[in-house]
Amino acid sequence: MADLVLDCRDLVRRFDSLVAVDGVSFGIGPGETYGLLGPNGAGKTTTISMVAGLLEPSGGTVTVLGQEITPRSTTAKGAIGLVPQDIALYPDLSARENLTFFAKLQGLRGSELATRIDEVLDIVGLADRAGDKIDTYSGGMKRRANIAVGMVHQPTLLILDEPTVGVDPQSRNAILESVDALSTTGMAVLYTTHYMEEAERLCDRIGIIDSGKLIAEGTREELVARLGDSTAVTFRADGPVEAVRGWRDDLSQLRTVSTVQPQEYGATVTCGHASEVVAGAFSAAEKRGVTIGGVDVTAPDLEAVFLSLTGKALRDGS
Amino acid sequence: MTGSAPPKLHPAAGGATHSPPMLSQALLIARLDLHRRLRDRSILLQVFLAPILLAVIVGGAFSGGGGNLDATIVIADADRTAVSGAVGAALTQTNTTDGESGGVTFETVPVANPDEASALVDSGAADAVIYIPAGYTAAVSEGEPAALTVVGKATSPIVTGVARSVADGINTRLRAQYIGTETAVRVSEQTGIPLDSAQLTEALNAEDVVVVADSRLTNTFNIMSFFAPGMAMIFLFFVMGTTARSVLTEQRDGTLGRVLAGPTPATAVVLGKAVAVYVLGLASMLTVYLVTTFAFGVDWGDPLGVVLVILAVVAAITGLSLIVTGLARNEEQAQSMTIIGTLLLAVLGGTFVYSASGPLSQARAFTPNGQALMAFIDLSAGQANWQDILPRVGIILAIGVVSGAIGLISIRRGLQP
Ligand SMILES: Nc1ncnc2c1ncn2[C@@H]1O[C@H](COP(=O)(O)OP(=O)(O)O)[C@@H](O)[C@H]1O
Ligand SMILES: [Mg+2]
Repeated sequence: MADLVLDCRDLVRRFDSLVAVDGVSFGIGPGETYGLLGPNGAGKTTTISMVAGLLEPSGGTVTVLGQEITPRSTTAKGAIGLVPQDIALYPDLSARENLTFFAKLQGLRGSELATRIDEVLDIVGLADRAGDKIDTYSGGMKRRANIAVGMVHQPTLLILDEPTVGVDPQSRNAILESVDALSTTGMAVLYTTHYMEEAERLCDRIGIIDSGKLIAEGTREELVARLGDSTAVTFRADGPVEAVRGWRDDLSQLRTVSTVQPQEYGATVTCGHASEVVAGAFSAAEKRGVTIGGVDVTAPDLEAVFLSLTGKALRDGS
Repeated sequence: MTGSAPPKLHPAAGGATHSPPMLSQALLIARLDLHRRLRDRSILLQVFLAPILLAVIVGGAFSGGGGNLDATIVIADADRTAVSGAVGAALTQTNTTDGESGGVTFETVPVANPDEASALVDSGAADAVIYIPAGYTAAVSEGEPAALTVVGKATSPIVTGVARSVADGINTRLRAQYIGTETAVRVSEQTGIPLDSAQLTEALNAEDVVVVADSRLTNTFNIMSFFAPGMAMIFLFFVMGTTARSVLTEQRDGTLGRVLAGPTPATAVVLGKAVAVYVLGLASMLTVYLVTTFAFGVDWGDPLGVVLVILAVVAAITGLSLIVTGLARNEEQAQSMTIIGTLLLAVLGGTFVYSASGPLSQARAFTPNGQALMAFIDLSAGQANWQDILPRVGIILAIGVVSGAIGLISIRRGLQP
């Protein structure tokens, strides 16, 4: 598979007894945007740290454009642009000074350097504040400057690690727009997130990662198709603890129900025939003395895929 | 975001650029480091303003007549040969006749043993004693090891330092003379024509000895020549901890990880930081050198020699700063290591108390600042030229290279996961 930009094979990383990344394999083709979707602590940052040659794998290999990446393979790293999860900029320097320094380290010089810096400042929408110190930027602006530095040298593979965490909705949208724009430039992008909507919006293919393992991979459509024609139905229910427990058991007996996920007040059910299940749930509740306070029916999405694969929600509150 | 279509990028070509050579990456890192440090006012204060301020204060306190050394150095002669007599005579010749405004006065006193020489200091007859042991001339003319002993008071380290450098001067000159006469002696042995002691004395020309004790050592000698180098090096110690701080800050800010994620080896980072701290240390030392020279008329001696010692000692401090960087896990550790290192080097190196004998004077030879201080004294008081201090420069550089290598290895181990 020489035409892959990135090829990860059986990546493993241990921290003492903890296996943070456990046999992850995936590839990204030229111009493709690949999303690594998983909850906090799933192993996303650890995976991309190995991809970027910042962390030595405990096992497995990473190749970028056919060249193996390790912490010592300095030349090959020139093909990679990393946008780390936390802002990694000199706070006392301006965006332009930061860009100039990192671009020069990558080997950019002269007019090419100036042109590229202006281009990326435009892409992230910081052209008018380029001369101001990073210190004076808002959180969202810092994130955009952080992205600009990662792509100033026009890497073949751009890696973005949860670039929208903790930013205001406006900046978030701006960031998503600029990543979207990159897909037209031929840059391969590896994008990690725990936001299902971002993965759905940006990525050509998505890998779902949980507890260090890549548990599913494909386009959004392929992943959702795995659910069959199943729908997620969430009931808010109230009543004596024993009664609610019994009612949940009743739910799992209903026709077309594949999983029942207990919630604090109620349950989430994946099923093939939502209206039939809703009706069955109400009659069971009446018999058990359980009150149903609300019903929420969601069409199949990545959230539901994650739920059906892991039995837990992608986002725990955050 | 303007909402208009983003500008088109050129399709990424596989590995768009060639990564630059490591050395130019190191220089980029050094330039950025210096650029950022020079924006930081506290660094400017530490490196330039404080040394100048101290130079002004100390220079003011010692300017005028008070700046001159007023001391008696006794040549305690237990050798009692024509040569040792000539040495004493040459030194006493340099005494000023008017004897009004102090300066170093030399006296010769015949003694029988080292105890008598020490007694001269204890009794207050001398501020320092240069003891010429019995058999010294004979040993020198045989090319065998022989040393002059200096006895001084712990309370007057400067006088002791002067005496030591005069003694070093005598020893060096006599040995140089010996090499010159060696040929004559060998001829004498081979031809059977005897070479009498008068001839040998003449060969070991007393005028050369006089050179080691010219006007500098007499009443124009300025105490600042001793204070200035020691002072300059204290500020150099401050610079020592800044490499660790710079690396740790970059680690915390994530910029170090970002640099290493690019095509930049860890060695380039360490090299860049080392160049930056070297330039800063050099600037600090040169500031003190130039300000004391031009504003206070301090004579440091042969400028080429002074510059060589400065270049070397800054390299040594840079090397030590890399060790601190390799060891320190956080800024508190870096700070305490710097303080401990500074005190240790200052005490062992004779920055606070310059003792001419005892274990401390031996420890001094193993510290870069001690070696540098001795070289500076050789240059100013001993009137050594740049060739004379090359061995010391070599030792200082060796300390720098070894500590720098240890530092580099330990930092790289820390940086690479
Ligand atoms: N340097 C480290 N030392 C020990 N454990 C780590 C280290 N880095 C990450 N981990 C652990 O590895 C797991 C995966 O972490 P991470 O890759 O950061 O997840 P994500 O980026 O998906 O949130 C977590 O349990 C985390 O605590
Ligand atoms: Mg992460």
